[in-house]
Amino acid sequence: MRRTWTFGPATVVLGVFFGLAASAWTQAEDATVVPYEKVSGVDGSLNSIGSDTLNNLMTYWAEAFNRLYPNVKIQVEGKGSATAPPALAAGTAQLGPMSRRMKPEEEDAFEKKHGFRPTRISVALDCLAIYVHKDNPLKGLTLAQADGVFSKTRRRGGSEINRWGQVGLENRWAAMPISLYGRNSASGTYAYFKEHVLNKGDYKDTVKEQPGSAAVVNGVAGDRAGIGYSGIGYRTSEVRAIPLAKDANSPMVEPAFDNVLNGKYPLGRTLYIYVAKRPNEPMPKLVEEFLKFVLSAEGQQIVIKDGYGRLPAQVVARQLELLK
Amino acid sequence: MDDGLKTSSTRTAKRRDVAARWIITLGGVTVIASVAAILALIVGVTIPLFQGPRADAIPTVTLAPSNGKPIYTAVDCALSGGGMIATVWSDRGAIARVDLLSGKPLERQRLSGVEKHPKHRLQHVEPLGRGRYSLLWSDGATSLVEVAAFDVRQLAAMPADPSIKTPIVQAFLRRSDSDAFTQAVRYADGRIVVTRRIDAETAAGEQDTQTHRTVLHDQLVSRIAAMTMDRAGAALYAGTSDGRLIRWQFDDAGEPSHREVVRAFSDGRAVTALTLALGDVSLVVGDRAGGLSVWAPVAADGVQKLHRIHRLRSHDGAIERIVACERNKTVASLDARGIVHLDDLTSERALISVGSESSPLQQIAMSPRGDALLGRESSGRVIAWRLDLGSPEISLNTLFGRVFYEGYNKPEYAWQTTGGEEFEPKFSLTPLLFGTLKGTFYAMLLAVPLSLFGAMYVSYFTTPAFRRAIKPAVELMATVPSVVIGFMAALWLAPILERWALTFCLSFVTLPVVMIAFMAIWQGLRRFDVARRVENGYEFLVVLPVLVVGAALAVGLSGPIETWLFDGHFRRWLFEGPLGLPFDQRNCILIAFGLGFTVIPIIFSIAEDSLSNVPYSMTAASMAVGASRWQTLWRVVLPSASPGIFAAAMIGFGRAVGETMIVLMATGNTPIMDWSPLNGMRTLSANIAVEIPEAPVGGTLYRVLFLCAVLLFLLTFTVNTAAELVRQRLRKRFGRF
Repeated sequence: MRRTWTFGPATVVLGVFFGLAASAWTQAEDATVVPYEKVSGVDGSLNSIGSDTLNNLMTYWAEAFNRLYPNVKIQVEGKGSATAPPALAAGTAQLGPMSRRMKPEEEDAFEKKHGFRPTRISVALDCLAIYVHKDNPLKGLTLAQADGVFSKTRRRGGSEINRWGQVGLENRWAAMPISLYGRNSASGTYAYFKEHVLNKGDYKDTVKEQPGSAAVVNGVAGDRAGIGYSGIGYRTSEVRAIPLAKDANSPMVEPAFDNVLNGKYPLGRTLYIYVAKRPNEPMPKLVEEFLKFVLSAEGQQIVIKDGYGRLPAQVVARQLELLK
Repeated sequence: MDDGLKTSSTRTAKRRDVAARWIITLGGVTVIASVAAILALIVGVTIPLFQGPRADAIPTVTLAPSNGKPIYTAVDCALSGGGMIATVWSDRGAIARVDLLSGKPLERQRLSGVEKHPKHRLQHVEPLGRGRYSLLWSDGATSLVEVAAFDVRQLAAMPADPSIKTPIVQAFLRRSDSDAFTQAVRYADGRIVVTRRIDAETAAGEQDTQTHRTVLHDQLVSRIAAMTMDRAGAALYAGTSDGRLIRWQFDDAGEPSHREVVRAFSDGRAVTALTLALGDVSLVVGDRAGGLSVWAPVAADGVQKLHRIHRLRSHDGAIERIVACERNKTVASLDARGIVHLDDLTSERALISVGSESSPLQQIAMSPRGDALLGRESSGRVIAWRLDLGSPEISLNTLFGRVFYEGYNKPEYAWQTTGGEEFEPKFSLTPLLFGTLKGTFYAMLLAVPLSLFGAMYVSYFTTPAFRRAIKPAVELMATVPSVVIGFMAALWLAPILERWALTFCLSFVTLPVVMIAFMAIWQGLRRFDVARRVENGYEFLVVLPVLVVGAALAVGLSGPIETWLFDGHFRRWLFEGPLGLPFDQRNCILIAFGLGFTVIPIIFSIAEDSLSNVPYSMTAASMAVGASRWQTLWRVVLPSASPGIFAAAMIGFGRAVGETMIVLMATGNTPIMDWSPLNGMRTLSANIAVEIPEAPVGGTLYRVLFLCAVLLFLLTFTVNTAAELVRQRLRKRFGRF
């Protein structure tokens, strides 16, 4: 298997911190997701272009899939979710991993080329976390407070927050100015956070845009006054993922996949792989088998190992329906 | 014989000369041609940004009068094949599709809502975007339907209050993301009734419906001339016949939580049309005098108040209808004379003006993708235009000026290009130009003195052996890839610099003080022979420990000084003290070090070369008439070498302006406009690298990023040209060799 190193900043940063990215995450096993059954006649090559968040996961899946089918060549490239739709439309990739849904313009562009809409397959759960430095005693934030910290338009109606004292920290923390870290705009994480925390408002100009998820975590790890957002899979021992509350009356909830599944944690999201599937026609065997593998017990085990959340069994069943 | 040999070798040499001249000329021309071609290419990509929008009328079609009177006509364009389809809603509650190009009717469908009460007629259709429509029936019931490609689905319906017998003027139904339905009904007697219905499921799994009804009592209600509501049903807007705007905000239960009245027009002209632009933040207001203005809630002293943020091109007659585009912040407005204007809110650009020559238009509609405009005359004739709006949000003002964006408190320079579907993109290049110049300025501030003085010392004071070692060593710095420098600066240097911030600042005082003190002592020591021998090229050996002492002094003093002067916390003092500077870990000092590291070897190397190239005869002559080394350097060598030194600085400048990787990684790419060296910036080059993966090819952002490239090119081109001119003049004046 070949891993393509694109000359993008995200991959460089990610590459260096590759070892830090995956932290084991416990989640209850589910017996109803069926194991993968090997079939014959699978070979050829697959290209995957898309999300940086899904980059590691795609690579792990590709490696494991490659062990089953040594004749298959898979290339994985991850520069941001926005790179998936054009690659799918142009046919340079068969798999388009995305950490958000396609925008209508992106679907239009695809439909213009192919005459049908792309198919969206859910493959894993992600839990977006807000990180602070490990020494920071912050108990948690409400979404309105997080909006006040990160946004200049503050659509949630909170007040502007630029010092740690304004979110309840005391002593020497109180007067310390908050130092903001975030992702660059090509990232699905950037868009997700903007929509779900800032209520589609605008980021402050002072949010330091980092070219990769691991770079955000590293930025916060090296800055005592720092705060930043990134997927839970990028958590390290240098930072702390803080609990969040939907509003002032709700309890603070720890970022964990069980809390995402029961709907208590406000920043859970689904990760997708987009594929081009003609309506009422089977898709290419290689693509279908890869997605079946991803949605199998083994594929979902890899999801857990990489620090993301596996899909509930009924969701997996629905995705398998979509493949037919 | 001898002569023959000579001529033959001269001939060969001449032939070679000619060949070389041609090859060099060809090379030069190719280089210039390629640069010109690249420039033409990137300029070519940006040109569509400034091209005007287009509207091409397609042949008119008369709708066959069948199955009732047409109430509303929508338009949509096929993505491929160029087809255009009109959807006609009739008062009998049926929709029919007509191919606008051939005039042929397509399929026909009854609305699901009508089957329940076939006697009632459809009175009004309001498009809500994404295929949703709010309908008003003759019995006062409202319903919400979704029209997909092949079916019509009713999402909700709500009957009117049966106890009120007054005729209804206007009514609509809304649905929020959390499935709360809100109905607003305006009666002829001026009453407005707002009903909120929340369908919730109880823990036992039973359906629980809560309904809350509010009558808006307001002395202004009787004067209301136009009314609209956001798509979630959280805010109701009204305009009065005496030029006022009213805004009611509703809480989750449906109770009005806030009411605000603003006098929009001092001359008391009537508000005649209201529409919320895409995103439900900006309210587009049309008045009787034909004026079109945009209002949005703006926070002032903690309260949101409606404020006029844009003024669009005026019509000649009263505005009758305003339709918002579902794709961008463009609105179409129809006046009483049947003229339609298309304007963009953000750029306030007047895009297109079209109209019907025969009879005034009764209704207009825009296609969901903003690629078609339709107007229906009362006679049933339909005219349609195929639209190509280009990049309506781009104007010189949005690129370089301050713009009052929705949700902002004041007009601002902002760069924020990506957001959801309803996002208002902000394309101000001013912060990026500012950031580029800021980063370069601080980098040059560090690099120019260091490398020039370094070059002077190495070329003129030190021993040849040392020079032979130091020059390649400095040049070796240039071989470090900039991505490594950026990485080191961001993850290794930044936390160190933050921790030792005060020490760093103190060293600006301690180093010169220690140095001056040392020089005073040295004057005394010069009596000894050993000291004088050191002066011949080994000064740095003595100065190095002195600098170490200076640095150590800064380290030692920083603790006590932080406690005495800055209350134990220098960063806090910077932020809260008289300076009010926020200290950011990713700041210009970091960039100065990072960029300096790449620029210093370039400037040093070129400057050193030009200093060394000053003929020895000149320095020897200067020394012979008794000038000191310093006098010789300052008066003789420097002027002669000045064109080269200037060129060195300029090449360094060009390198710093275009450097991408270091700024990308070591700054936060924050598009702020602040000269403080303690925070970051976003440069044009890093901006291109950061955003180009997000930009859909051929879209506005893509083209604006190419415009960034053009600006970057122009910046370096102007600086280099100016530098070359200055260099020529310097050479004329001082070039004595």
